[in-house]
Amino acid sequence: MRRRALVALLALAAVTAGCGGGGGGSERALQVRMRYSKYLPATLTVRAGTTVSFDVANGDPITHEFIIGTAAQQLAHERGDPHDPHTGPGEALIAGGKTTRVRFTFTKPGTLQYACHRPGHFRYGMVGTISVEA
Amino acid sequence: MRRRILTCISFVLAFLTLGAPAFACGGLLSPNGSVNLVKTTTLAAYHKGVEHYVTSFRFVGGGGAKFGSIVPLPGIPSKVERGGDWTLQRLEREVAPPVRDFFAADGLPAPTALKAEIILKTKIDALDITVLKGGGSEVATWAEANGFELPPDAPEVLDFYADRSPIFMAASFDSDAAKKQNLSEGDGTPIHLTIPTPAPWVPLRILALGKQATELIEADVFLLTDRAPSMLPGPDGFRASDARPIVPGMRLKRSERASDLLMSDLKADKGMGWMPKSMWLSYITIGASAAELRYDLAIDASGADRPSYVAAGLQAALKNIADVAAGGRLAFPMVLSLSLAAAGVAIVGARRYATR
Repeated sequence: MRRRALVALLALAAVTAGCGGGGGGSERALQVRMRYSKYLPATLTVRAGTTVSFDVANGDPITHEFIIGTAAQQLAHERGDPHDPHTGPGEALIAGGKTTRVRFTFTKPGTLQYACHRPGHFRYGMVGTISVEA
Repeated sequence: MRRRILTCISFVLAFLTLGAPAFACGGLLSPNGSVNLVKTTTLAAYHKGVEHYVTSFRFVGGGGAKFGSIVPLPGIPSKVERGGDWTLQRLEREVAPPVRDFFAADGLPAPTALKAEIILKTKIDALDITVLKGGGSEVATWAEANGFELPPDAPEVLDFYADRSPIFMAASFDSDAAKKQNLSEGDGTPIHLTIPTPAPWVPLRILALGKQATELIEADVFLLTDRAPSMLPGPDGFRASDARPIVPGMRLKRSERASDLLMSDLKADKGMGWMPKSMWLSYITIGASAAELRYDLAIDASGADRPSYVAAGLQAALKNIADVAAGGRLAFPMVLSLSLAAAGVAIVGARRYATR
């Protein structure tokens, strides 16, 4: 009985791990760190249909943003109000030393970016790439 | 006709260039993250274990906007006072005989600290000065808490300094006080810091704060020391007695015993009575891209010819040298070159011999 329960638990863990790997319609958790105004990691890969919970930790003493969007959307943000509170989906403003959770569903394959549009930050290279695979 | 137009343009450019060099020191911070490009002039004089650091902050306008700057210091100043009225001008005139009208700089607010310890607060004319003690994060947190948006490279640059000296000076213009004092845009306030320290250095990397990697950073640095100083990294034109990095973005243009006239002119200025009868004048120009300017200027005026790698901000390079040399993989000179190159220091000369 005990062995069966263990096998069932292991099977459940395997399924969960599979979901974490980014299967369609699944959930996945990812961690992104900000340090010296750079993202770590700077590239991510997810499957289309995955909802990702990003735990975004700001290791800098200054405020940063984590904004997911296409390259065109990033440019629009860059030209927009630098002090937009960014409360939309896939957007967060993170004070120095704080961690925020951002949930975002990647609906279709393509390439997205995550970036900070505080003045000068995007130009400084504070941008990462997300490859959304079919 | 075309030549006349060209001549006129050249004249105007020459006037703008020579007539109004701005003085500033430290990274300029502003609420919208914009950074003004201004030329910096600094005097670092060292006598009897005390560094006298004189720079000037330029009022960059009112309109409610706050501008500020942060200057890393080699130690806790025992005195912060208004600088003399002509010290920096007189030094500029000494090296560029046409009389120059200069002054400049920046400012930052001086409100309360969060975690950084406030060591000293004072007001000089319309300039609020705060001397802070803290790590890079604490100083950055203090600046953000006081309404200033630091440029994206600030966390790394402030850590670069805090690792060596946790003392920073924040300076900002009080717009209301500036109005009352009829300060116009471009008017400068010279500041004189008296800093007891065994190892003097001049902060240079901070000048690149908030600048794009390719932007040119220009500055004039004057040194007054009891004897010809040894410097690290060596400016182009400096004859080092050992294999030390010589950087092309820094040029030693004058190295000579200061003239009696210069000494008497400087000594007559406010706060300059400490000057001895004779000092050695070094005039160094900085003309480096922000990406290249990743070092400070360490000085050894003791005669030992041992300026500190740590004070120059080259300790990472030094650690690389030690690590690799300990592994015995490379000969020392090659290790030195590789390490300094890794630290972003371009070496144009290595083994030169002192002729001082």
